[in-house]
Amino acid sequence: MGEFALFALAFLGAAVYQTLPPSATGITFAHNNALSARRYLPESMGPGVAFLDYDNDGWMDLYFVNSGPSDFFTPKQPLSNSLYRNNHDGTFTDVTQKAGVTGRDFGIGVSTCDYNNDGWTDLFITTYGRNILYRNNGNGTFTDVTKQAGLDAPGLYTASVWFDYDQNGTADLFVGHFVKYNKSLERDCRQNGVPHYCYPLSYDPWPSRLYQNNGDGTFTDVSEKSGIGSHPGKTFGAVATDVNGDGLLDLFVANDSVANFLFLNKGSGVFEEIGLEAGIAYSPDGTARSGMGVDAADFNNDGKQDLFVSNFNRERSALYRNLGNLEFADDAGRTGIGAATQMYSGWGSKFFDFDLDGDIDLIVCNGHPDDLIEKLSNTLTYREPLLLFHNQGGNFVAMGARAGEAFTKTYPARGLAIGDLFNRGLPDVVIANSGDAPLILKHSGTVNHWVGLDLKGNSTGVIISWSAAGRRRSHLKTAGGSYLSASDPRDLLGLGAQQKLDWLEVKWPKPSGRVDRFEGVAGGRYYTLRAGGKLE
Amino acid sequence: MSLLVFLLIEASQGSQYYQRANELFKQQQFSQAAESIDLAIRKEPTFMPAWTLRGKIAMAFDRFDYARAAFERAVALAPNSAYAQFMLGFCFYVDNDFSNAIVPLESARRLDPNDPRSLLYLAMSQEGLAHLELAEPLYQKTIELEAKLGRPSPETHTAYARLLLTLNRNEESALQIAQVLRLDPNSRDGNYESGRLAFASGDFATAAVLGEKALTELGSGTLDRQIHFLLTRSYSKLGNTQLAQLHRKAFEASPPTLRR
Repeated sequence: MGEFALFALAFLGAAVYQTLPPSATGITFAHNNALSARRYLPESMGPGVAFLDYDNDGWMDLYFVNSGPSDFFTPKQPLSNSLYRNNHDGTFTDVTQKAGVTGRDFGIGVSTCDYNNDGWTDLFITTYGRNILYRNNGNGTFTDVTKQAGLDAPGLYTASVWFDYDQNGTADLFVGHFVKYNKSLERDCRQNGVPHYCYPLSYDPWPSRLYQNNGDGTFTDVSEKSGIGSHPGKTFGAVATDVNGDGLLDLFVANDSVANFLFLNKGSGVFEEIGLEAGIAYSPDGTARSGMGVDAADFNNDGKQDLFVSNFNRERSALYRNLGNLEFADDAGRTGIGAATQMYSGWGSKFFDFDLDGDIDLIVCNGHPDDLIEKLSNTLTYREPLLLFHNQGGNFVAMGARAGEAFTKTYPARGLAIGDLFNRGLPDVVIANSGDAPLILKHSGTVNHWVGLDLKGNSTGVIISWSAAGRRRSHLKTAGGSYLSASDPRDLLGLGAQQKLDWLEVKWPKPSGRVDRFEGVAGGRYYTLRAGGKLE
Repeated sequence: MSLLVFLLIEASQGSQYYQRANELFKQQQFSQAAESIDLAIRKEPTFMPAWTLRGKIAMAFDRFDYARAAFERAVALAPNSAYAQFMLGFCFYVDNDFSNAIVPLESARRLDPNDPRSLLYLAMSQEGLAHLELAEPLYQKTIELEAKLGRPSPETHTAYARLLLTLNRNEESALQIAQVLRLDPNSRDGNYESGRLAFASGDFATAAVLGEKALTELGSGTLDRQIHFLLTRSYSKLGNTQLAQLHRKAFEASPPTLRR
């Protein structure tokens, strides 16, 4: 069915994605990467982007992260993150100042979550400096509650993932930390007398943090108690998923130049790092790669969560197929992903079903971290292309120009998020570029059908199962993933040619643990569901 | 003294310096070789072999910029020299400049179709550029040519086996590794790769045996770190925590192999 959908698109002469310029969207944000002659490490890391419905109007708004003042950077003019409200007509309005989410310090990444279960989506921004928790006041404004929440430890932070590791119904927070860093620890990595960004190998690793949600607006740092803090790394990407199907959310963490981590949730608040034993820590020959973006999904429909990591050029991305028994095998070569990603430095990466045929596809954005790489290499470039892969029976076929004109161009891409900006049941894409304007890609449409689910409450770890024309599929709702970015929290289920679901089943994680089942669900619309509630 | 006689004397002296530089290079006395080759080139600046030797000496010092300039000069002096073309392509390849390696290696192949080296490095350059559909037939042609010449090479079979392994075509890779071990039963690369294949197939005991053998063999292609990694995982699977820990420590103590 997927090939039919693509054929139909090609027949209609439509690429999968069309680029929306700022003149069409009103989104004029441009990232400032603080590029200096000295080339300080954090300049090359951001930014992230988030889809969120901050005003609960049912439409996805967008939040872009910018850099800011730090010990190595004093902006000539004040810099600001940007929140754009969706006007429901394809345009957006900058409401940053009114909402009070300009940010502070050197912004890097972003995640979203209703951490206090008040029904309003909150924002968490990672920085080089002190992170920011913006509590949504429910009236179009936010309040910086970082300090009172206990989340203001300084550092060089990257990914942030909200997930309920202790299954008490409130979202806890993992915050990835990159290397031990401040201006005085910056290395001199000149080549031919010219400063370049240093390889992460030049810096010391540092542990990430896990914060337990106390349920009263505050958090407790459980990094040491949980075991997470015992593993210094150089974290870029992280995703929470359940790799062994025990109902507990585990954490897969991509590190740059040192081993990746797989933190297995043992229950009772303790994680065990099993990356080497599981086969995801290193390349198949024992090389620590440069893990950057990550994601998790069941790409081969065998009921087990597989893992993806985008790596540095010449390292190939990794597609870790879950073999069961907490073991993985890198299928990047067999599936075509290895060769297609070999020449690029991958960042934001997301599994999603772009043609709604029910099979999980993949998108990866790329960009070399060193803006001067072309002076050192005839083969590599700073700006690199986007890659959209179509899942064809377990093989991932790069779509190239068929994906759209944007896929024939190159970008200094970092963050990537997926979401339905226009409430059409189609996954749009937003790419956050380093030192540049973001790229907004509007889906051109497909002949396939869909059902949208907006699960309310703590839904990370939910297992959504459905059947269309007798074909059963299943999807575990992960948290985090990609790179520094947050995607649309709603789920799009691809129905292929079928216009309705035979049945839909939603298995909620503990503490609820209940299963909600619905028969004959009509396609072509979004449904809202709370645990034990009606499909509305 | 006529100009012709002068030039002949200079050329003769240049040739002597070249011979001397070549001997020193073989003895790995690179600094002295560099001095001698500079004299050779000063005496006879159009003597192509002196330029290729200068390039090789520069490569020994990791000065790929000087090496490339020397090989380019050699190619300019003798565009029909398969050796000069090969060395220029080889220099680009070793410097990870795969895209620039292709043209001179193609020229070398055209000029000397019976030299498998240019085919092999073309294959590896195409692989480096992720052109796997071009690399694979080149590996196959290299193997065919080497067989035809009666000079089968374990290195070529190893390189092709590794390509197949990255494509998850393990059974085909195993056939190539079998050839490596037939040609050289003590091949460090062959035993290591055979161990990796055994591990992938779930035969952890054989993987451990082959890993241990690889560790005892000499060779520069496979690092100790890689073998310790294989042995860590193999012994872990076999439940031998003591040996698994031993190799894990050795693995983690080895310098990282990150390339950028």
